[in-house]
Amino acid sequence: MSVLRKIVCELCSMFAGDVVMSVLVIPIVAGAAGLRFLTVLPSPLVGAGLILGCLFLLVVRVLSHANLVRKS
Amino acid sequence: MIISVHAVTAISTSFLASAVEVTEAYTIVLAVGLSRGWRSASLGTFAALVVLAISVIALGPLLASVPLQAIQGPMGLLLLLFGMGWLRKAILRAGGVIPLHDENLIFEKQMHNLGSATRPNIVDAAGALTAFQGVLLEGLEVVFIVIAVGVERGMLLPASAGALLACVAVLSIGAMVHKPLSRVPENTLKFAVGVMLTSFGIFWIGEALRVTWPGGDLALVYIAAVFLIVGVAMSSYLRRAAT
Repeated sequence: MSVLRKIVCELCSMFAGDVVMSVLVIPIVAGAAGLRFLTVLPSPLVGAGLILGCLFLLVVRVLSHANLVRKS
Repeated sequence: MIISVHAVTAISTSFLASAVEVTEAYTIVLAVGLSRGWRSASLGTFAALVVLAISVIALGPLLASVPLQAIQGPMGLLLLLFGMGWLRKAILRAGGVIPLHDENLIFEKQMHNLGSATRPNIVDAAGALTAFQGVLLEGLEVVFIVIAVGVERGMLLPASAGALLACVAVLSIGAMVHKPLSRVPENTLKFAVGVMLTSFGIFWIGEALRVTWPGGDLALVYIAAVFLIVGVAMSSYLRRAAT
């Protein structure tokens, strides 16, 4: 039972080590899907938006963690 | 050219990721072997490897039989979550915000927790279970990466070969030195793997959204380059901010 629990924990930490970041990836992807299928934007622009959105999220989450560590 | 970009990235990603995970698993197995005897360590390791091999053999072809269009989006999202997680942690470690993974320290802790066996020639259940758990948990990430990067365009075999090569390389070095492989640049490898997995994830999500990437599969390279440049810049900024 303990092995199973550890496997489940490992799987969770694989995809949601930073829960906030993992949750916020979804609206970025959903936003890109919306732009792609609901607007007439050229698809490479949607791709660029996807890259920039993920990049921005990564930078924000790294800085947020760094600030948190410094304050504590 | 197009096939080789995919093959090279799939093989190198699974090789580098496996090198990191096998190094971590090796530390645990080494601690079990030295404290509880090599029979327990070997039994636990072998059992975990069987479970992992069955997972790849069962899941790989099963996922490969699903239409590509249906699997690209979910698999891309999982790769993106996994890759960004690794990259975030690697940037924080490289920037000195969180401590680096220390194999020597982990080895010492494992040795302390395991204690020593009274009869090292007999298979010890606690030792075998520790080795089993260590190899299984570290191996799960390798299995996911191999399947995720290998499921598209028949790359499962090359990706598995990359992972296997890393196992052989790390274990050969381990067999020679017989101590924790603390000189393996784990964070640099994790940084590289995080960049590559993030690139795969974004590329696949784009493909699922029918995005026409300029340069086709070469997009994998320039997406990775963007994340690498930003990651290196951020870790250097964090180092400077800490001083």
